[in-house]
Amino acid sequence: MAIGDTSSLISSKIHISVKNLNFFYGKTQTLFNVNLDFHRNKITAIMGHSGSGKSTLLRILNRIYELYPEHHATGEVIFEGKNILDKRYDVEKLRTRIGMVFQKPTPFPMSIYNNIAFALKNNQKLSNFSMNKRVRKSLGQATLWKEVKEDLKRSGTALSGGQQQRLCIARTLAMQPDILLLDEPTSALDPISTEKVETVILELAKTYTVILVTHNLRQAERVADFVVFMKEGEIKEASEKKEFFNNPQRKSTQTFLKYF
Amino acid sequence: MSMFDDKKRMRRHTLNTIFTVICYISVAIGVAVLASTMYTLFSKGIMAINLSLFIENLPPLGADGGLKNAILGSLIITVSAVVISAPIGILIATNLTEFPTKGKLGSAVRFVNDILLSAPSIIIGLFVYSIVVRALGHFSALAGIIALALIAIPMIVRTSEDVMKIIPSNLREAAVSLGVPRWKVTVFVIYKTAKAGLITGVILAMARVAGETAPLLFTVLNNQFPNYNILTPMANLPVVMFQYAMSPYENSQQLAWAAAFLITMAILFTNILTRFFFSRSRNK
Repeated sequence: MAIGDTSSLISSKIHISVKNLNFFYGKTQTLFNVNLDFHRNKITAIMGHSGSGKSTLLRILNRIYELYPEHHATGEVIFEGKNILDKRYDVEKLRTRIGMVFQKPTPFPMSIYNNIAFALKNNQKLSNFSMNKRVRKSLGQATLWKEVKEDLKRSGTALSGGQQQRLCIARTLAMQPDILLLDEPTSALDPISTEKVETVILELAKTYTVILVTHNLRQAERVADFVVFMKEGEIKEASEKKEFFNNPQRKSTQTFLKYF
Repeated sequence: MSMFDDKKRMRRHTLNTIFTVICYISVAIGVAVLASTMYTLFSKGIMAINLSLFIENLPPLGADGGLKNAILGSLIITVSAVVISAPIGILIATNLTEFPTKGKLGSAVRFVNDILLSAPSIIIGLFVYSIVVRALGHFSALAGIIALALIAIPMIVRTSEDVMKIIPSNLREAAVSLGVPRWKVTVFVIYKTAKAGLITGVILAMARVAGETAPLLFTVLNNQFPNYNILTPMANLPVVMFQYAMSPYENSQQLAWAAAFLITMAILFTNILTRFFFSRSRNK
């Protein structure tokens, strides 16, 4: 696809595309020739056993693996016609476009307000007025606004676990990314907080492309549009949710589904 | 319950008792040594404390006087050493934990740091003697500051690295994945999270170098006269202790006791201060 050919980009259903991807922890290869397309404004759930490489795949999409010098990837990830794994691609810019929320809540040791404003100040020049508006909007999207609006100066670390996780989601949304990567965002939460976060995820899919790593089959069933099944660093099956649950093609997928 | 089980239980009980007794004996030995040291120091030191200590300067050996210039000298030397070593130590630790590189540089730095950490302080003193004192042609407080800083740096590197290492990598990843550059993440998230631990490490290093004597003998020496120019020898408590305690005059020995008491109290106080910092950060 030619660069600058934006019309076809916008109309394209494929938002981000992984091609011939291999990944190595030092000398150990953990992803093998992964090829996968993620659809625009859809929720794709990636499932698999622990160690199947699903989190690794997610961590490549915003190049967060680069924090560790012994990690490296080969292959291509095409986003808006460009290979984001190319060293010349501005990685900080990339991460503002492709946001990520982690398994455990990670509030920064600062106020609720600053948890959101910290990264924003770095990337965008906003007036106080629009900053306040953005903080309020993102907290609202993460359904946290009502619970914290009285005291935005309170430390983010003083919130409950479920609130912290929604704060982390709000923080990522405030950057107004195009794609959201969620790495088991509810596995450390109680059922009520999980339900709240899932509601947020469903709401978000209207405007964002969501890629969700989850251990929880029910969760995938509830929220996903597409499901990808990984095993031992390879994609075993990738299809629409209905197809995946009702008519799995591969033997390994059938075995996996039997456990639930 | 069978005989066999009873026997086994007896054995477990006996072993447990023996081990507990050994633990208590070890604690008793440690506490006894510390308590008798503190007792001697307090009983002799407190007698030597009086107002003139703080308002009069060092007397010649055998004469009456105070410790004013030695107290100020020790403060200047110790605080300057910490002001130099704290940023260097914390930045080295930052390099190790936040900006690791491929290859062996990190482990080499850690290895060298561990060697420096256990190097006898007199060797550091001799080293600074040969590169600073010889170059300047005379003893000076500056040389002492450098020597103490060299002793403090590896301690600060070690404690700072430890506190930054235990910060969950998730926190770093979360900050970086918002598109924030590494240096900003380090300053605003990592340092902020590790603040209590970093301060504790620096204060502990300060407490440790405050009492160092050997490196000062080769670098600052002593100065009987009030003088606060760091390019010349300067009075300081550890060397006063060393020189006056060995003199045959009773009033000079009293000054040495007073100096010992003051240093110990200062170290005790800084240790309590660090505990305060730590408990406050835990309660948050």
